[in-house]
Amino acid sequence: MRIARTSRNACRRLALWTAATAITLVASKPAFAIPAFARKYGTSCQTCHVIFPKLTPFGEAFRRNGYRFPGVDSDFIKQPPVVLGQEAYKQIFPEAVWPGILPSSVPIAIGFNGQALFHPDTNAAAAENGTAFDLSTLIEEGHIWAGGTFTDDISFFGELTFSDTVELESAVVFFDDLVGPKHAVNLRVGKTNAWLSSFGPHSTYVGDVAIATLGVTGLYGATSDTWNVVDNFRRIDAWGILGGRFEYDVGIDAGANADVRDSENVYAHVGYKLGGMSLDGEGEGASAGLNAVKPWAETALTLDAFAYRSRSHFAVADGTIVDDKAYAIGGGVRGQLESLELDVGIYTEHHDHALADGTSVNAISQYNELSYIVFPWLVPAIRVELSHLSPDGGSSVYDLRIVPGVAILIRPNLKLTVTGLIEHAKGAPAAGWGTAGGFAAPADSDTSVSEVEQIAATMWFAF
Amino acid sequence: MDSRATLSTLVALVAMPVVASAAGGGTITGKVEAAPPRYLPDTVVFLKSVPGAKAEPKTAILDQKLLKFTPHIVTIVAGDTVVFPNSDTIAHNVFSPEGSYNLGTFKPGDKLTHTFPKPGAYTQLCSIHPEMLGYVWVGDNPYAAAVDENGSFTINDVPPGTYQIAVWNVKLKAPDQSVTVTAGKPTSVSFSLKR
Repeated sequence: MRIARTSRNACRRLALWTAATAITLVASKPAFAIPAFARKYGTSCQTCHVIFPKLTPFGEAFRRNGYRFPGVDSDFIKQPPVVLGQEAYKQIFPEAVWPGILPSSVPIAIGFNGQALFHPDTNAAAAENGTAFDLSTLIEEGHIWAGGTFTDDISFFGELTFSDTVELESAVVFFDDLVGPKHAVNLRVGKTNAWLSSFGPHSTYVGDVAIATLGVTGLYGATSDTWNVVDNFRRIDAWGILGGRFEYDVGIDAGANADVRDSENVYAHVGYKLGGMSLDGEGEGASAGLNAVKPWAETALTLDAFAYRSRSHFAVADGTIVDDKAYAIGGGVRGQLESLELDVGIYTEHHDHALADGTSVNAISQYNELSYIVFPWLVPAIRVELSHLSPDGGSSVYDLRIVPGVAILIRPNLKLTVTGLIEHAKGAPAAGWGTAGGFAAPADSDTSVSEVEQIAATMWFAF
Repeated sequence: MDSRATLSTLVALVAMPVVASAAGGGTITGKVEAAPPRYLPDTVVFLKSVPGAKAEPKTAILDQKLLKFTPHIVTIVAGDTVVFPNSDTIAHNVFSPEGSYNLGTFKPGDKLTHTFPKPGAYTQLCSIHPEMLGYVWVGDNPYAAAVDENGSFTINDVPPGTYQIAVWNVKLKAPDQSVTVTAGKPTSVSFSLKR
């Protein structure tokens, strides 16, 4: 995640405490179907997106299938690929290299994003230096995405983000349809996120990530990057879709550590979708419950549950390395009634050594988003996130964030969101906020703060 | 006469089926559609069984030029021979997984041959240039035609009668049809190929 130049300290706190509202404050890290796919298949962004990065049911199926079209992916490629060996070479393997294809154009897309900020209350914490109107982050990040297929059953995705520095956000290879029925057993290898939901990580109109992040150890003094359930880590995982309705994902990742250590983070997710398009978009499920004139609309209920176990080394201010085991368990529900959608999710985390002195912490993250697609280019939404951290024997910290907003698709690849951020926080860590915390930062455990932090107009474009 | 003209002439000559019963025959024309269309070039339309249709062994040409097999598909009858010239300025190879033959590496200007004793579709590959693809389609009668880039085909000099007409495609399928051929008249047939 990138941070605004003039509000770096505030955003640093935010990044560590919670990334969920970051889209209103800082540039986010998108990972979604990209213009490279539009070029590859000769299809509009609207085939997969409502207002990007939010995906339609078909777009979600495309993502779940490892960024491949249902059916035979290559059947839909409009750009004739460069053939790296004819298919008949499979007949003489291992005497020849297994054949593949190379996209005829470089499978790259480029995008930019940034925001203009308005602080109605110049005394609010987000109004750094008392600013009321801030254009310093109007263009904040650049992105290069890559996505495509090596063959019909091996695909790839990657993203580099540029701002003051360059960051490898993700780079992952999908080995699809390894054994059994189609989509049943697949493998992902690379740097990417864990699939803890049946929907894409950025399945939100007014936030950054759908599952709100908790930066527990960051709040309590970590100075190095710390683990959370949302971030992209180096991982190997297996996922699959069974019967078009049940999805699973299990994996192991390296997490984030201040030093080199065994990679032993493990996680699992299961999801089930009732009604609407099948999770893989295959067969009869491809059109089940879909509205013929509103491809985003369906009536469906999707249930998700996940568990995550992490062991992390993180550094604190005096250089001490703390060994923290964390256990997270949670789930979510998406109910969709045609153009109306409600997402609700919650998870708890227990860290056995979240503080430098070894104190354990229990945390809860609860998040909700209600949206309605008025037109395919106009979606008002409201997002509510609640975070609660309770150190063993210490003062609890509570933060409520309300993000009303509207997403506007000016053109299929040009987007504007206008969002507000209202925050109410109560309590403070015993050692003070340091570099962690939300914008609203009460002075002590008995104090609460309510603030209208800002209104943000965020622009995205990609090509 | 340059080598291209020579080859074209030879192709034209060998493409004429030598069948006694063809005199006064009819023509079958038509069009094939394919979904997805990228497999359309890999299509042959043929008559399944034509009593008494015996052809004398002949020779066809499958050239290698500009890193392509030309034509993409050559149709012959079992017992015919295919000449594989190398009209490029670089070395090539020809082998077929189905045919279990490998003609080895041949230099520019070389010509090698292979006789196909059994009907079938034989993929032609070049081990030096794995992207190259061609087919030798071997029938048990001469009444077969590869489609052009638009999916159109023409089978000439078909003896009058009623036949089963079928389509071969490397990936796609379409049901056989019945076709009645009348002397001196064209008959139209269309196919829609799907997975």
